[in-house]
Amino acid sequence: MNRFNKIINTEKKRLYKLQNPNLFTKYVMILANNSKSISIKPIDITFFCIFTIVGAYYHEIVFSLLQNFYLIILNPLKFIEVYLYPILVSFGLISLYGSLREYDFTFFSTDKFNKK
Amino acid sequence: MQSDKEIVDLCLNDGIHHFEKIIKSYNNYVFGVMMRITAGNIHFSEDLTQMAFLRAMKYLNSYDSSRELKTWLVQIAINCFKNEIKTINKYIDLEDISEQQVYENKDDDFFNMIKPLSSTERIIFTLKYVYDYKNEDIAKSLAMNINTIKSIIKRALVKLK
Repeated sequence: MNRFNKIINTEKKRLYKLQNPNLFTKYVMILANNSKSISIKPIDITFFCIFTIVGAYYHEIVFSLLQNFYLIILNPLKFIEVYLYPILVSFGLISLYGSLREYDFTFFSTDKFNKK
Repeated sequence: MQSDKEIVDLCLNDGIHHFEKIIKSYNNYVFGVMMRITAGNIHFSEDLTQMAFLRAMKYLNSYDSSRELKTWLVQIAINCFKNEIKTINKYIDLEDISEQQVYENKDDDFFNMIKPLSSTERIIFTLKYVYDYKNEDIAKSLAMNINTIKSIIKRALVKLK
């Protein structure tokens, strides 16, 4: 039992240190900061409503576009000619949504780094 | 000097960037526990320490401030160790880790002594004898029955004789 106690006492005195604790700390913080997060902003809800309303109002165009989507391969020029405006309007709305989302305040977020 | 509770409150109310202070305070402590439990596997211990802090950051909301922070961190690190063993079967035997072993390795070394013990026995044995944890604290940390802890300690001591 003396040998057992000796080993335990030696082990208790032994200090283990990370090779580079400061780098380790920074690395962990960077990893935590880069973790994926989900957030819902008021702009998301607003644009969800806008897309729903616009989609419902012009549902005939949406269904027609989906039904004739094969034209994009068979006859791309015809497809662009017929659906140019709906496609441009959709891209415009998506671009506007994307740019506004960057500037809007956060409504809900799982990202803890957003709290300041 | 801020207390652990104050830092945790700051993390929760002002942003998780304050957690850096906790990592700086306890990284070597958690790493030390992992080194002993993994029988000196430095890289695995570093990975586990890193995982433990990341998980602690994620679940900081559930931290009970009546408990000691370092005990909570060790508990998380041990859970990470158990999960890693279970899922990836990443555990490396003492023979395999000898090349990675940086610390002095004498014949009467602690790592050699705990060689015959299973991972659970190592955890309990280390906490009990090296860190002087009470049986109740170990039971609480590992979510096990106190009688199970006692019997595991007994079994470990028999193996070491």
